[in-house]
Amino acid sequence: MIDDEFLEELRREFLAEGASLLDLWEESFLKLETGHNRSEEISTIFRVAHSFKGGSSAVGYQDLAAFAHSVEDLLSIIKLSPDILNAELVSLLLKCGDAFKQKISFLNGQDSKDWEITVLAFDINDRLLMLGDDKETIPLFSESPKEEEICPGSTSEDDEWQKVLKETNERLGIQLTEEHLSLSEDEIVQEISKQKQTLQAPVELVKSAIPTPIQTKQSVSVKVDASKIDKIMNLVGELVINKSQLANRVEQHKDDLLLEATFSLLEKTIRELQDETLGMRMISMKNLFMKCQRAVRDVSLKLDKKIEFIQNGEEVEIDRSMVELITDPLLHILRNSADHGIAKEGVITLKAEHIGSKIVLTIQDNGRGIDIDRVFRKARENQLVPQNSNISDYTTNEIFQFIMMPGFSTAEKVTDVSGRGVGLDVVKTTIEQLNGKIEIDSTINKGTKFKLILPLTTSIQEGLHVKSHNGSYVFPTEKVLEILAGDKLNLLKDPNSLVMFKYRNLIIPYASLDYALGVAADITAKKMVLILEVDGKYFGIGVDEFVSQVHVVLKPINNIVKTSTGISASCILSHGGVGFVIDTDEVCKLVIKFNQYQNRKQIA
Amino acid sequence: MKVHGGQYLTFKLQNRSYGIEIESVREINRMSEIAEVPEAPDFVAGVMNLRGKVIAVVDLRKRLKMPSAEATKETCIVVVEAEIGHVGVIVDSVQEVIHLQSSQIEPSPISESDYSFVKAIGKMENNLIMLVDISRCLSKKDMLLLEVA
Repeated sequence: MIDDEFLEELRREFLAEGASLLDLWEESFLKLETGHNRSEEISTIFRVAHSFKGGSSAVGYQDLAAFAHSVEDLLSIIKLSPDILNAELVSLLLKCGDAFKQKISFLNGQDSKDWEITVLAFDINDRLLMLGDDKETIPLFSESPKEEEICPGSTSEDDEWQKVLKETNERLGIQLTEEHLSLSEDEIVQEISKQKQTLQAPVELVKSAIPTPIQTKQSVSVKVDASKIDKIMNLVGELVINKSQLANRVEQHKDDLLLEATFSLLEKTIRELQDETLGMRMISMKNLFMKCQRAVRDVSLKLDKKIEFIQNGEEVEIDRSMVELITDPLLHILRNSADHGIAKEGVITLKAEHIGSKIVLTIQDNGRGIDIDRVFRKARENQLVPQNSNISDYTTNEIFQFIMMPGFSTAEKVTDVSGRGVGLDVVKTTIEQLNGKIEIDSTINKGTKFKLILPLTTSIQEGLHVKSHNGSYVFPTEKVLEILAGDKLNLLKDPNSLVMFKYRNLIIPYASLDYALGVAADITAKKMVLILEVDGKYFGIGVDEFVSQVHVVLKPINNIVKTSTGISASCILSHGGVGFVIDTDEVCKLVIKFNQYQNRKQIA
Repeated sequence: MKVHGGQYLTFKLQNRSYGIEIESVREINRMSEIAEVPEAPDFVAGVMNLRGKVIAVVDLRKRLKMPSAEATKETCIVVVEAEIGHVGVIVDSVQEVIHLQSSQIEPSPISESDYSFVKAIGKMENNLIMLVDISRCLSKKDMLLLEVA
C-alpha cells in the first residue's frame, strides 16, 4: 500500500508532467494543421493521451483516466485512418485538451472551477459510434478502469511470453526467438552464451528498436518559484551597489596591487552573475505564440474564414513577467485582425524581434484596413482634435492612436472602425503600463499593422539620474530628447500665466520638476532643463543637477505608500539611496494642468 | 483591549519609554538615507533601501503627534512587520528587551478613544512604558491614503 505522502508526491509529479504533456499535445495539433508530418504528429498525440491515461490512473485520478481513455479510443481510430481528421475533430480534441488543463489546474488548486465535460464526453461518444468503433466504449466515471485497460497488451498467455522474451532480450543484449522456447533449459543457456559471444550488436541497437518515451524537453530543467528568482535579482542588485561602494575605497589604496587584482576579479564575477540572473528571468515566446495560433485558428473556424497564420521569431526571449501581461493585449489585437480585418480569406503575420533594447511585436493582416479619413472625422466629432484642424496636421500614427481612445467607436457599431475600437483602450493602457507603446499603420484594402514596442524587461530601466529639491529622480532615457543648460533659457510668461521658453523654433511649456511633483510652490528657473517628448509634443522640465546615466532595477512603491501621480516606481541608486522613476507622461500632463495657474495651491 | 504579557522592545521618544511586542520586530538599523516621497502623508518620512528592498519609513514622533526632531547618533530605524509588509519606524533611541507579566500591564486609561495608539501601559520599577499598538499606527488605510488637508 502506498502511503499518503508518497502518493501526494506522485500526484504532484504527475500534475507537473501532465501540464507539459498538454502543451506538447496542443503544439502537435497546431503543427498538424499547418501540414507537418501528419502521421508523426498523430502518433505523438496518441502517445500523449496514452501516457496521460496511464499516469492519471496510477495516481488515482479515475475520472481523468476514464475521460482520457475515451479520448484515446477516438485517437486510435484516427491513427488508423488519419484522413478522417478534419478541422472539426481537431477542435473537439483541442477542447478535450482544454478540459484536461482545467482539471489539472483545479487539482493544482490554481482554479476553483472543476471541469465540465458532460457535453464533451457525449460528443466523443457520438464520434466513436459514428466512426464505427466496434470496441465497446467504457462508460465515463466508472469506479475504476479494469486492470487490463491500464496495461494494454497483457491479455493472453502468449502475449505474456512475448513480453518476457522481449524483456530478456533487452536485458541480455541477445536475440532469442519463439523457436528457442521449445528448447530445454540447458540448450537455451548454451544458445544465450553463444549469442553473447558472437553477437557484438550493442544493447543500444536493441534499445533503438524500442519506442523512446516521450520527451517533453531536451534540456534538463528545474522548476523554481519565480519569487525566488526575484529575490536573487534583488540580492545581486545589492551586491552591485556594495561593489561600487567598495570601488571607492579601492581607489584610495592604489598602491595595493593585490587588492586591486582581487577587486577586478570580484567585479568580473559580479557582472557575470548579474547577466546570468537576468537571463533566468527570460523565456522564449514559444508558448505565447502557440496561444496566438490557437486564437486565430478558433476565430477563423468560428467565422468560417480562411486565415493563414504566419509566425516569426518565437525563439525571441522576453521577461517572464512580461509574457503574462502582454498575452491578453496580443490576443485581442489578433482576434480583431481575424474578425474585422480579414474579410473572407487572408494572412495574419505575427513577428517578434529584438531591436536595440526593445522587443517589437508586429501583427499584420492583409485585410480591409481602416479608413483614416473616417477616423479623423470621428476624432473631430468627439472633440479629440480642434474643430478647425486638418488631417494633414497629424501623422498617420497620431490619427490611428485615436482608435484606442476609450469609447471611440460606440456610435456606429457596424463600421470597420467602430468594431476595432472595442477594448483597444484596455490594450493601450496595459502596454503603456509596461512602458511600451503601440504604433498603428493601415491602408484601405491593403491591411493593418500593429506594432507593440516593449522594453526587454519590466524590471530594468535605462535612465538619467537627476537631482531636484534634494531628492534623486530618474527619467527614462528614451523620453528625454536633450539636456540644456538652464541659465541660457529665457523663460516667458504669457497672459494666462503659462511659463514657456523658446526651444529651437518652437515655444514650449516649462515647469520645474519640484513644482510639477508638488514639492515646491512656484515654478523657478533651474540649472538644467530636460526636453521631453510626449505624444509628439515637447516639454521642458527644470532640475537642479544632472548626475549620471544609470541602469536601475524598478521597485514598485504604490503598494508601500501612495505617491504623487508623476512617479511610476522607485529604484536603488548606485550610492545605495532610493530614487524615484518619473512617469514622464504624467509629469507633462501635470505641467499643462498646473501651468495655467500661477500657484498650484489655488487648485489643491 | 486585551494585552498579554510577554517580551517587549523598548525605545524612547521625547525622553519617554515606549514598547512594542517583540514578535512584530524584524530588525533594528542605524538611521540611514531616506528618500522623501512627494505628496505622501506627513508622518511618512519616505522610503529607504533595506538590502535591495524598498520599504516605507514612518516618523513615529509625527505619527504620535509629537514635534519631530533632528536625527542624532542614537536615532534608530526599527523594522517591523505591518499590514503592508516591512515598514521602518524612526525612534529616538532603542533601549532594551524586557519581559512583562500580564499582571504588570494595565489598560490605557484613554484607550477607549479612537485616537489613541497607546493600547496599554507596562509598569516597571520607577518607570512606565507606553505599549504602542504598532499595527494600528501603520495600518494600510492610513499608509496608502493621502491625508486630506
